[in-house]
Amino acid sequence: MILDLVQLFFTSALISVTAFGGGSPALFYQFGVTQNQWITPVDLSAMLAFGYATPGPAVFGTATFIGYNVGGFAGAIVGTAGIYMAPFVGSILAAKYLTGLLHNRYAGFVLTGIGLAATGVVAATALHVLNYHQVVPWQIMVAVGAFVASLIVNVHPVFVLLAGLLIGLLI
Amino acid sequence: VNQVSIRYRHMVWLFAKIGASSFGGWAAAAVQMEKELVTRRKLMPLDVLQGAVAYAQMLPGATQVSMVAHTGYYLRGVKGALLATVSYLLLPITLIFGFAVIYFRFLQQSPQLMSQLDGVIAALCGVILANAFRIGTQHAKQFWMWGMVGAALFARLQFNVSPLLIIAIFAGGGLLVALMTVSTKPHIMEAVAVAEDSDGNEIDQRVNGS
Repeated sequence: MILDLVQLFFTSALISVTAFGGGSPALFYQFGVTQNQWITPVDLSAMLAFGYATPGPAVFGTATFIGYNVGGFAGAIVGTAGIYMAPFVGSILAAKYLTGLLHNRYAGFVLTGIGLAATGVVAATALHVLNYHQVVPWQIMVAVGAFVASLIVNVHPVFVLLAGLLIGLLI
Repeated sequence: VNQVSIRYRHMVWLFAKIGASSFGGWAAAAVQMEKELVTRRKLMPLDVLQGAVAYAQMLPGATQVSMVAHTGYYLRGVKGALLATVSYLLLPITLIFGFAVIYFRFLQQSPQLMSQLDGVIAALCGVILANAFRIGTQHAKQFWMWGMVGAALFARLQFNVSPLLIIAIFAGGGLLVALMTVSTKPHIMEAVAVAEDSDGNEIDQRVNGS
């Protein structure tokens, strides 16, 4: 149990320190679903849907969720501590010592590279989750509709997910 | 650090309130912070908040937590950063913990209920794809860059390459381009622009405009 919690903490911390540019869903999929099999793709989907419907960081709460499944209340605390430690420490260090970071001419290029990678791996995560079950045509239509509603019409994710739930219940 | 006259218990209340009303990602959180910390209570100038947003975009991990810790540190040092972060996350973490308990104890045990999530999962995939596209439009300023996005997608889907490896390779590629590009121009404006353009242009207009 203690070893599980230690592994959970370091995995959460690893996800956190490498989650630049919005790539966190892919990292949770890789470490939570594929590598450690702490949760299934359906669990991850349910968590992300709930995360979008609640205040605060939508995706990073997955560490609390996974933590509970791994080690109950203690696991939830450990997962939460691991995931939020890096941005907390990083922002204090940046405010105190790295005042020139915004002026660094290399940082912009590195972040662009990371952003391009994050786009690809996050898109792949969505397709992985969709392909977990045998996909039926109506699900593809819902996914396309959600993409359009979210990106073009700019509908809030909560309403998009509720619409998906309703369609699923009706079908 | 700017030791302003705000008591710790007021900080707890203030950041808990911001955390409870920050629906819709870091841009919404930044708008709430601007409203409470800059406009209403005048605890910090706008440029400090903008700096916190810009730094948060450059740092790893949860952007909202970086922003909150940065502003908490500005207000009351390390203790202020810790209080602000814990207060901000209090409600979101409690909600997720409650959801985890209900989900793993009851929902997951019911295949009938789980099968009804198919529509949500499909919709979620569309939402995530839309988010991915938004991230891409912030960074892919030229057409060939979308080719790089496609390469990352292909590597992940076809060869199951670890996202960590893909991100590391692309970061290295960015550094290589930076090293080959001679420029003495400071990048502060680019960094702020990246921070302000994410999740649409709302943060740009609201933070600068009010």
